[in-house]
Amino acid sequence: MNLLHPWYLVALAAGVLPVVVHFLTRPRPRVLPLSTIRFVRQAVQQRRARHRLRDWIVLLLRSLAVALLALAFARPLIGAKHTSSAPSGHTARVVILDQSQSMAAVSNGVQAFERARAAAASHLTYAPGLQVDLILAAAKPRATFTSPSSNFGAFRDALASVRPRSESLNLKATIDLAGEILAKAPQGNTRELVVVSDFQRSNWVSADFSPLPKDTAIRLESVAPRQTPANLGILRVGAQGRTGQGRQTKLEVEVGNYSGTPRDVEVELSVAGASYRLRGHCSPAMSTVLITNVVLNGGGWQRGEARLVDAQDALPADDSRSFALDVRPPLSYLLVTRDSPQPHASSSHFLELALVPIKPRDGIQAERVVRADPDSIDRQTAGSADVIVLDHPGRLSSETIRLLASLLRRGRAMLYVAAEPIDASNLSLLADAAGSDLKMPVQFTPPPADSTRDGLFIASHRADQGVFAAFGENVGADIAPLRFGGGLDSRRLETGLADDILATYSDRSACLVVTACGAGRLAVLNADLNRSNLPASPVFVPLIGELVGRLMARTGITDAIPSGELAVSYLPAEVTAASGLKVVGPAGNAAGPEEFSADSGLVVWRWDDAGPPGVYEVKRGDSTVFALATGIPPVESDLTTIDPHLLTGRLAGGRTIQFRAAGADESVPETAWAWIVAACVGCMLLEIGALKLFRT
Amino acid sequence: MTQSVISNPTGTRPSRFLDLHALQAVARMRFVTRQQIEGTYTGRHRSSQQGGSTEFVDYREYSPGEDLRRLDWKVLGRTDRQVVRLYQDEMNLVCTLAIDASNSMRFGAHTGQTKLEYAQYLATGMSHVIGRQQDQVGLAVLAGGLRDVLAPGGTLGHVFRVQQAVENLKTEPITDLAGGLRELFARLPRRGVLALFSDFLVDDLEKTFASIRLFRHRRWEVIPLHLVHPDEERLPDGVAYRFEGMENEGTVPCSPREIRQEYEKRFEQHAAAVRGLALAAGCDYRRVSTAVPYMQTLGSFLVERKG
Repeated sequence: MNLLHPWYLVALAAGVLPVVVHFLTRPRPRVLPLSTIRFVRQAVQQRRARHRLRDWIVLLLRSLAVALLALAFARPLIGAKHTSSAPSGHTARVVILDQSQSMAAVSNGVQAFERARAAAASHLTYAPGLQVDLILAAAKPRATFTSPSSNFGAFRDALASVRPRSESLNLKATIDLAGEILAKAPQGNTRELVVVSDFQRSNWVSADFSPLPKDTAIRLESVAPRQTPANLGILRVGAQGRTGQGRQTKLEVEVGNYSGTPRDVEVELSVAGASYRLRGHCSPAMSTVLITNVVLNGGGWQRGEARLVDAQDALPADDSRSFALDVRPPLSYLLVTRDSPQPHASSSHFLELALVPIKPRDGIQAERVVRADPDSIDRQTAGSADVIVLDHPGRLSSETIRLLASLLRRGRAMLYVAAEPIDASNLSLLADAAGSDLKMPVQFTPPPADSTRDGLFIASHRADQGVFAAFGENVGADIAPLRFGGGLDSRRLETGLADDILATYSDRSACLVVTACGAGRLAVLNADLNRSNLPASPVFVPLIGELVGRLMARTGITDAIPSGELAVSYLPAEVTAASGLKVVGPAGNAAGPEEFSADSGLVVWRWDDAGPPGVYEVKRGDSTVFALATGIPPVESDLTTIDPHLLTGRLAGGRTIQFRAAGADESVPETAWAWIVAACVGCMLLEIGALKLFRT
Repeated sequence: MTQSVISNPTGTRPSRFLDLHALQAVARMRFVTRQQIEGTYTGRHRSSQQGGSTEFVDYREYSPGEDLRRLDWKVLGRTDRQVVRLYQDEMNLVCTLAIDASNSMRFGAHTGQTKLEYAQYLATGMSHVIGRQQDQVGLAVLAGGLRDVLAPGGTLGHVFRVQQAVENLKTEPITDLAGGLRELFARLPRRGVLALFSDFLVDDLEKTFASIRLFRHRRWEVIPLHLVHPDEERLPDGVAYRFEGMENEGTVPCSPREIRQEYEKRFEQHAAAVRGLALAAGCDYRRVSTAVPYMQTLGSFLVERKG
């Protein structure tokens, strides 16, 4: 227990005053011979024990009352170890100032960060024997010095210029850094850690103080308001599926409502020079996805922004979010085949007609099929196609296999029509080249030489999957007449998903398989279309169309990179060289590192700490070859604070941690000394009660 | 009113406890016993002898206040002496004054009069009354046993000796009232009246009254005069006192205020015990407060016993 005014304890000596007064002021007894002394003695003995008890009780209560009064004046500091801004002796102190985006929340007209700045400043003022360091904590912690210093002017300057960052708090890295700095303090120094933060639950729920030296006194000062302020935020913006030029695209906006009441929200979506309004109803403590359909006629990388209209919440920074869309031209197919390009009744031509059933009008950009010989495929050609279709490709070279595998992993869609025995070898080599990214549900093998595969029909299919679901309830009747020939045998691989087998033949071999490979998808149609009646069937074109659509569908939506965090992006396949590339920031100026490297023929852009929210474009010349958006980490929109008892209890790891609201009185709350005074008064009342009880 | 002049046949000064002026108030009063007595001479007291003989026995001096019809006018005419004729059916009172001379009787000096002095005054007055009515009075001094005894006698000289002995009383720190009374009982063969002046602050009241019952068994009339000082009934006011025992009982420091209630309760219990034992023994118990003037006590005592 520490004392604010220890010299008041001298008054404790006054506690013996009643004893001294008692003995000094005892009246001198008058001596009187008494004949009836026996009765006096009996009466005295009768009352002696009781009176002695009474006297001791009264004396004790009086002394206690005086002692409590002295203690109240001395203002004891009862409770956990106290780290005061006025340390005693040599002290090494690290102050962590939370710079995450949530610190920009405004409550009662004051930004949390401003309160934090003042609180941090109080711990960075000069005191004899005190050395400090300041860590600005966000996605990456930044210490002013590498070890505690007495350069208080530098800390003052650092504090004056610091602002909240559009980043999340990397607590582990921050604590680790603080531990390293405190470990450098000389032996014998008192070690202190002061954290000034809003203690957002999402950041602090996994707090671990074990990297700190064991003797570190930890003090947490919260700048969060008593009641969590209400906040709305745009958490995510993206497109569903491929954004095609001139085609309808679904744009999604996810809005988070971190308040206790439902809200009607309105979002203004701006992209490609057009604005769209989305309206919706957001339930409390939930996120809601608003969807709108847009048609983007312009091609290439488009910048956009989603903004909450009239949000009126605590954190304005998350009311808008930028996004980048790659508006692709109409689908182009690369048909890899050894078939003759001359139009004739062959599987490749059937496929070509099915892929682009409607001829485009002159001058209108439309989907197209480019035929290519397997031996003449180059990266650019392959990279520019949206869908690669292989039919009767013959033996594929290892280079081609590697190219196809890398394109698959990078997000390309691929349809392989396995008709010949050599296709089994190609598929096997493709699986090897793709590595763990490709987990085929079956292994295709050449059929025995003495067997022929003819007259096969679809014995079972996944009616719930998109490919067959589009045919409705009559799918069974539609596919019943289909007969297939050629193709490969197959056996089940347990490493793959059974759900990826969409149809099975009557001989139990796989008919249609669709499986993911990295960012792309591979479909295998196990049939020789020349020996099947599928191309003549009315289901052929819609089936191929649905299959392509499934290959092109994206399960995820392109999210913005959280500001301050590591971003590694593969540039599109058409970007084949790193030289000549530059990064342009949201303001149109150069921004971000230009760390481009090659990886398996692809260009990789590495950004160690993604910049402030906005769209960043990678340009070659004036042409944008790639763009990505950075944004506030969605977790920063939830301003809920962690329960302090969790920090001082379970998460403390056995350490004594002091938690208080920043700016609160450092000493024992007012009620503490008031209670001491009340106890003093209680002692006096008890004394009166004792005297009355003993009837004196 | 004729004033009786007591002459001192021994030639010494009268006892300082003999206040003849004050005793004038009881000049016409008699110490009357309530019981049948037996005395050497016939007197005013009812005899225990049955039969009622009228045979002339002797003359004795006429005491003022006596019935004039008893006066022998012939002798008066002849000799000018006031005498009465004594008959066989009239006997003398024999009264022994037993005084407790323990140290506790010295209590009260701070108020100007101790219990002992009060007893001395009272006993002297009583002896004067008894002697004046030509009865017999004796003295016994009880301290750590029977210390002094003067057998009852009726002559003036004897009365003076009794009064001198009362005046010269000295106290002793030890009280053995019971033992003294037993000794006294053995020394007095004839029954009579025993007036016991004591504060009864003894260790064993039962033992004391057992000795008293010896007198009662021989049909003595016992009159316990329980002397109580006001400061014994109620402790003096004050915050702190150190009371000293008067019979080697040590000291007790205390605050009278704090024990007053308890003390008074215990003292009254003691007084009630004395009274109860006295009444149970058939005694004529009297509680005498030394705050009351002794003459008032003596007067009321004689009036009550006038019969």
